Amino acid sequence: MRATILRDDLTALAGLAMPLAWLAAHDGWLLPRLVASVGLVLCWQVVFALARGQGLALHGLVSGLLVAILVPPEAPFWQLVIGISFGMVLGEAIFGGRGRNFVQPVVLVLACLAFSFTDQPWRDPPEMPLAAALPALVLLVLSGQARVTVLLGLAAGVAVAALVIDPGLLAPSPVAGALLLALVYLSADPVTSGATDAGRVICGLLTGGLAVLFTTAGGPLGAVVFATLLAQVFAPLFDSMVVAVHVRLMRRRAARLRNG
Amino acid sequence: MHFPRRSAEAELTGGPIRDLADDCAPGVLGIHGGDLAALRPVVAVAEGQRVAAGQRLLSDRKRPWITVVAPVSGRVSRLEPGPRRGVSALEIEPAGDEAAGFDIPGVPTREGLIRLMVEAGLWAGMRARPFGRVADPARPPDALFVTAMESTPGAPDASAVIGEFLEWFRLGLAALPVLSDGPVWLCHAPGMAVAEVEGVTARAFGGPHPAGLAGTHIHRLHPVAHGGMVWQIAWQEVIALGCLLQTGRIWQRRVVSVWGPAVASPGLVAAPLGARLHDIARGRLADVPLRLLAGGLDAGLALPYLRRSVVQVTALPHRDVPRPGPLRRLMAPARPAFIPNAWDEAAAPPGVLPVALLRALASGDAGAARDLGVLGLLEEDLAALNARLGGNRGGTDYTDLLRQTLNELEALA
Repeated sequence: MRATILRDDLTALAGLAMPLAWLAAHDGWLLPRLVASVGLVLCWQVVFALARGQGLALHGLVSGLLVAILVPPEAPFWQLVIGISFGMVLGEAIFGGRGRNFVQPVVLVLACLAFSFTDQPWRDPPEMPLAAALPALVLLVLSGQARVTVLLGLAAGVAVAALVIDPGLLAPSPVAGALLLALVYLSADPVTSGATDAGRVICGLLTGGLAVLFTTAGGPLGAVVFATLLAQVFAPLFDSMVVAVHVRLMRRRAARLRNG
Repeated sequence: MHFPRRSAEAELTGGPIRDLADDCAPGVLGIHGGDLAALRPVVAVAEGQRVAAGQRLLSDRKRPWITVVAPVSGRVSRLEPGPRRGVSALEIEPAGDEAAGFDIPGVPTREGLIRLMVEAGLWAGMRARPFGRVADPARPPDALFVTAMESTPGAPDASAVIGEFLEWFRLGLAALPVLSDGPVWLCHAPGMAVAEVEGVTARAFGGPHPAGLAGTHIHRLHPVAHGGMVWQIAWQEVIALGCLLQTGRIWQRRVVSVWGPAVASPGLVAAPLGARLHDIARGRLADVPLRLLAGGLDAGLALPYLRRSVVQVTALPHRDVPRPGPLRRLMAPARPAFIPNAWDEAAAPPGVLPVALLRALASGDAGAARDLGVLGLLEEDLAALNARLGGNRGGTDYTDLLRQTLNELEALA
């Protein structure tokens, strides 16, 4: 709905302002990359708006910006075009647009790029200090988009898996900002990261644990992306398990209240 | 508007009750087709006929316990047939003050009380959950809920109004226990002086909306989402029953609050059922283009006449919405998708998983919706969440989807 633009889309955009400013100072190719990815995302949205009446969501801008931020500076544009087209169309548009998708389209873009083109460092995040991503975390949590339940699950999953596998993974890293951005915008996306509170915690735990596990075999951004993809594919399963438990508990409660 | 409201208790409308008849010449009273939805009426009056207050106007062909009586005495000035042998409009021009008298049974029995309430048109205020229909007298409920509070912003302060009619309220309340095999719950606001009545258990409910909805009380005390059936009755209907029992005549008034952003002086008005909303709000409105809703901000409907169960008239400033241009039409989705948000989910009725429930409703999955507790809900319980998602402003209307799902489940039951 248009009425939620202020709360949802503009806050998400505002959260990206600091990361963009930081990258603009360190990366000469940021602007052309921004134009290309945002333009392509909007192109696909217009195509589906005309063909299927899906409407142009301002959130497409957020997706385009996120792709531009999270890919490496020397990324070839033709690969980017293929990746964005694949992710935005198959991850979101063919399901009916944002809100009806079941995986985060930006995750699908990055997974497609990392999977298809091994000659580029798609799995490595750009350098970014943690402080640049903190405003995004605060804004998304306050506007009700990134759930505290998912984030708690993520934190617990990362901490437990790192303590088991390699405590050194928790050390401060120059790419921590980009990883936090990916976790907040992609792993904790309100549409795809579970529909019930318990389901969200499980989804976060799985994402965090798998991300740490995958880091032992590749770049950290690739690890977060593939962990998120896997967890979001399983999120509906977790939700239906949680719903089954909830229904059983409510039935039992109803019987207790009626007889007691 | 979309950020969380202050979680303090909603602001209710109190103050002196002004009678509509004191302010202006009584206008035409009406019942419209929308008020009679799902009714197959048997009309008991003819156009031009004089009627006394309490005289039967129509009743339902299949469910004779649903009756509509004249709220005041006057002349039937318009009686328009509707589709499928229905009535699309019935209007009464008030005149005189004859009132039909009813025989009050000395010893209260279940059958006697039901017959009296049906005769006096009061039974239509008794609703059953699940499904929210007028209760079937032949099937006694597991529990009876008397809702003696309001929590929607701007609704009348039930405690204060009940205080004005305390004797009638106690009389009505004392008569109710014969109707139910199970407990009778009186659900009230924390500060209210509770009347001690035999057979009635009082419970206080505090906090923000939806603390004052019968659905919340039923969920807390006797849930029906997974079996069972309860009745609910609103506090004004209890006052009306008390008036009937004491005087032998119907209570010709209901207390309605006039409130909203376009109201200059909010306050309480006592008006007969069927009064025009514009007559009720007259003299209290700001001098701006506005529209009136019967009900609160979230659940209000654009109705011409006051209907039973409406306790509030909300005035909103009216803005002309320009016809969208081509770019705007391209921007707006044909069917906006639901994007979960923590603040919206906070407005969900208690005891449900909001995202899963809304998705089940939107996809028409009645079985999943039943498991998720849809049988314990009525439109009013989902109204706050629906309003936050834009359902009352042209988006997907989840209260409509809820009614469709309930109809489907009722046909299966």
